[in-house]
Amino acid sequence: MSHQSLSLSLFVLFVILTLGITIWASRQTKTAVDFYSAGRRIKGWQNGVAISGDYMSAASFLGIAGLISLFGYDGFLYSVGWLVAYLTVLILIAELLRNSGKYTMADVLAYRMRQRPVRSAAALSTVGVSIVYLIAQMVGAGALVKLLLGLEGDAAAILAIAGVGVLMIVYVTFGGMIGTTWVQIVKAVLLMAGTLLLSFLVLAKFGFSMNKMFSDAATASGKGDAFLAPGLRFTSTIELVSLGLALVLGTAGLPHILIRFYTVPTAQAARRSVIWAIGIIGSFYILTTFLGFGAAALVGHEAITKADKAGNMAGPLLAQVIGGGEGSFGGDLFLAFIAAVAFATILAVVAGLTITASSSFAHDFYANVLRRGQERDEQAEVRVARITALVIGAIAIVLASFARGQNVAFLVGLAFAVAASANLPTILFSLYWKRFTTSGAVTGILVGLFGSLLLVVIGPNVMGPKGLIFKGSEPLFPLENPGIVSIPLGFAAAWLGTMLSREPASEEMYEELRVRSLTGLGAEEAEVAPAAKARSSATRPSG
Amino acid sequence: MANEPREPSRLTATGRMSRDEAVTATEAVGKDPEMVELERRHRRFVWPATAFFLIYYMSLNVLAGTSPDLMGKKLVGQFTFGYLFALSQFVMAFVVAWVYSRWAATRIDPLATDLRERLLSQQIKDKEVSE
Repeated sequence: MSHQSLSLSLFVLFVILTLGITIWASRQTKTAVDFYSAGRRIKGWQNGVAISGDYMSAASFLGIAGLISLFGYDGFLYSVGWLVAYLTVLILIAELLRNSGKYTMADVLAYRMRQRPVRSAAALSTVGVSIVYLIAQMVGAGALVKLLLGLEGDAAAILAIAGVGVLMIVYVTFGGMIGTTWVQIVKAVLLMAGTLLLSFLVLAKFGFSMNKMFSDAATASGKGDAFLAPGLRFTSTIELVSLGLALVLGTAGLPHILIRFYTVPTAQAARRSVIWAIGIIGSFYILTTFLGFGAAALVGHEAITKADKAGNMAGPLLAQVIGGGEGSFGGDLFLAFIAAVAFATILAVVAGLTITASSSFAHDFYANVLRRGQERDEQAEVRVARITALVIGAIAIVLASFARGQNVAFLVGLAFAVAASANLPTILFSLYWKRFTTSGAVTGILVGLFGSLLLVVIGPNVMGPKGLIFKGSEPLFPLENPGIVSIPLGFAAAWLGTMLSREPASEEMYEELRVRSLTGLGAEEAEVAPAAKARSSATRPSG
Repeated sequence: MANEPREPSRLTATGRMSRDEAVTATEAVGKDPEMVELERRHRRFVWPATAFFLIYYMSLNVLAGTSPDLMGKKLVGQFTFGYLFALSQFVMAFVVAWVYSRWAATRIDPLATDLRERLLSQQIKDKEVSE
């Protein structure tokens, strides 16, 4: 059996398994709370595993391994930043958010502010961040399927991207949040198991000596000791600080991570779920050392860049070498297994992102802005969410075809910069600043969102000799990651918008918000029985 | 502006309190000594803790940019200072998360639960009186 057909069989097997779970879950999805928040019945540890599943995307598994395998030490900086980011979530956001929101990120803002403007702005930035994030996942999927099928050329990558799009829509339309929660859990377990196994086998190759792995990697890279020190990917301190800020602050602004805290019954469960996530994600990122340096030493620079010039295929290629090399049965089997794990990873993240963006559009924009929150029609809302999922999937597929050839971790780093610039200032000010107003929130979101996107577009990855357009001229903005400019810009815009307006109603409601967010008084409760469901719809906002 | 729709008060158990009533009720709660203490404890922990981990984290990226030689210095075998410093960030994150959850369980949870239950029973009593 060739490695193509073997990997295909394994992949199909996994898809059948996950779709089975999704269909089972769809039978349990009946109400809007079920669709969006899994009935608030998810346990803390389950949510922690699901957060890890949502978080460890193609960027973590394919992207970081690729960056380390090509640039050594510098790639590992992504691993560090993406873990430490969870402290921002744990300490500043998770519990207060759990107590004050309901379905989407915008709920926290709408608590104090005028609903229509803040919900519109928040829906826009949720969709924006999710699409940038989705592009990266699609690029990873494209590279993976090209490798699996041994195909050459761009048409194959586009086909792969379209395939993921269809699967993702099936997930979201049938499964809703319970479905994606279980898909995340299954994927997180598979990913951890696959990575642990691969790391163990890599270490065994070097006689369980990390020393030998490091020195072999340094030699094989052709860079020597420079491979074990910073400087091969990043040479400018400002670029490093910019990236660092985006990574460490971005997670707390990611809508698809934030809404996971609504699936648990209490603030304590929210806290427990972050602790679980930190444990799982931290262990995973430490293991990226073995994936990256292992690939550098065993696969080699040339083979890695031949499969994908941005290094995205380093991990799967490493599995092939460990299993016995190209053409051997073990090599094909292990490549197929790791590729299936990577594919599951991408599918699960894509599903999580899509459901978040479509929920936000349906709940924040359609139900609360277009229909002005009157006569809540839950079925129509769920239908709008499903249509939105289709549209967002299509947009991401188109944009991903332009971003082919970029490293996946780098692309997700951009999504983090956008999230930290557009969402974090407004969330933090809503929770901690009494004076904050609707104008401040809307200005902060819009300036952060469009500012960061604009800086990417006029930066070196889109404009100029290394980019896509105006190859003859220099980029207008010198940094690859805009964080150091766009994040302070988002905060400054939110502050300025606030200082230029006054909103006594927001200040009054803040008094209520602080009691509620800290004590959990009046927070949304777990829905356990139809009786509880009836009570909650009786107290639902009527207009 | 004031007529724009907002979330109605959901602070009360019944959700049927009017906004003005809710604002008056929460103003009283906001001045409650237990609430003031809860908020004081929370702010006194979260901001210094955030400052600490942000400074510790950013120093890794700053040093990677400014002092690649120091970061590339081999301390033990092939283990560079930079790699060990990066690993220490993981340890730091685990420790801060552990300290935070211990602190929240002992210093925040009992106070928050106490306050929530007291406010809840007070609301039920108020409701009985008014009926």
